Amino acid sequence: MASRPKKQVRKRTRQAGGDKIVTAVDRAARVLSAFADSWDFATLPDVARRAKLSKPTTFRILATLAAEGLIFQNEANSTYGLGFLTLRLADVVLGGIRLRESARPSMRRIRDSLNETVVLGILEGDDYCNVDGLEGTHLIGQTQLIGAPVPLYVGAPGRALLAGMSDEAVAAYLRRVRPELLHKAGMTGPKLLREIGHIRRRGYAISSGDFMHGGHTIAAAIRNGGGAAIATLHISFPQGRYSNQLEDRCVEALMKGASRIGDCQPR
Amino acid sequence: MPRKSNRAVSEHFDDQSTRYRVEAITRAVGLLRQFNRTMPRRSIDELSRSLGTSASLTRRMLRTLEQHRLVRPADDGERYELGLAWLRLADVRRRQVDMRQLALPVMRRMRDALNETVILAIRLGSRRVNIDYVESTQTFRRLSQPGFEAPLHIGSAGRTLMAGLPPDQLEQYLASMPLVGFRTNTPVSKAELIKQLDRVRKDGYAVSFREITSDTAAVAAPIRDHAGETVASLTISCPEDRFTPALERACVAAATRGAEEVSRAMGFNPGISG
Repeated sequence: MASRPKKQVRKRTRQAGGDKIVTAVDRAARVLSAFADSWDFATLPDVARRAKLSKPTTFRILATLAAEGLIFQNEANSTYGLGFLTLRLADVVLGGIRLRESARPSMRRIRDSLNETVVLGILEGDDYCNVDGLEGTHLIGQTQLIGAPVPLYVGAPGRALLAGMSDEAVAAYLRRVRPELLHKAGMTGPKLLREIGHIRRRGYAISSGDFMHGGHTIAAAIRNGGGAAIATLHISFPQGRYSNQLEDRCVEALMKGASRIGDCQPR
Repeated sequence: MPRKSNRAVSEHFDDQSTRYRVEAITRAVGLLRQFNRTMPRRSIDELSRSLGTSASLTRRMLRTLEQHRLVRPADDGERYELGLAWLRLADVRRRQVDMRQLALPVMRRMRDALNETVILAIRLGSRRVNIDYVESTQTFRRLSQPGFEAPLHIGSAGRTLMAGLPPDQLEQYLASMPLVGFRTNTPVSKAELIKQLDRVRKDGYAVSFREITSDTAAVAAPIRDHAGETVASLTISCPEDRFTPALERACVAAATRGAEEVSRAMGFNPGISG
């Protein structure tokens, strides 16, 4: 019996990439992530399957998270959703993104003049991540994945960010990114470099259908005072609404907006 | 075996939920709660001190959360801040639970308490649109149709929404919309309207008489979201001859309290997002 506590400690923490993690916390994070890809409420077996945990373990985690406000339990049909605390914590995240505050007036102007959804994305390591969106009133619009990481080589916003980096930074990025992932997205290193060249000449990035199925996305990079691309503004609209005129108007509005936002960013 | 009643099931669950709390998870949520608008970046030392945990455990919790993008190192390389995954989760939460779902039980309680009609309205461009209502059961009562719309400056619901507009949008409205009313009592001068909107912001509610229909009075209060933006208004309305000072006070209390309750369910926190 004397050795039992020691054993438990070993069981609770394990090596992962050289860092010890806390297993219970890791599992709780997996349970939360199980809600990230669907807008429906989920049953206990659903959550357990998505988090790859047993049902009793999942139940205990859900009960703990529900008591803390991170999980919302619909008692009428025993399903689970996310709790109010997610909104509070997201609000703290948004408050820390100073760029968002200064981007809002420009985003509003663009949305009101074009009536298309305008999205702000920021650089997050080797990904970009949408952090804010203002929606147009069209009944058919793109659903923006707020808060989900998207690789930089996929789609117009990420490529606009790459095009805003120095040649050395792009080369270093291409050394880091796994070629098989590039291939899977129909991309190669040289192709991406050519695309980056195009974007630098034009001043904006455009993509059709490669990430958002059947949609057009136009993106312009926002640069800080030191000239580094730190974020993007983009507009997506379905193929059915496409016209040269709309594209021209989006390009003009985005480039103007992005440079106005960039002007008030520190180095 | 006899079926357990819902109540019994629910109590059974509560019992279990206390028994099955996982302490390490409760501690990790405690750590997450240490980050707020005033202190968005925290050091390992600060966190350990507040939580009463060792630095090594704090570091392990942070690393674990970091792998799931729930926290990330801040720009200064020393401290941590909350990660972008919270934006994703909050976005899902907003789509899972919509405002009408959150507002309806509150609206029913307001109606039951005063037996007057309660209306939920949102802003679409320069107009307010009624999207839901719970009606009074009295013979003479305020009627409402979902879909009814009016320019923002007319009626208490509209002016409540208008009072929450950002300055540039308010400016645009005043420059482009003709300030005319449907009936009486609507402010038709820019100065008077601005004065009334200031009053709404200060009081936290708006009162109107006979602006939409010829014989009703209404009290409206703003519903705000997690970002502090006014996203809807909650109105309680009745025939004007019933609207005594006592009922007015009761309506103000019901509307402001009800709107506050829905706002809180939408993630509004007066402390941080005001």
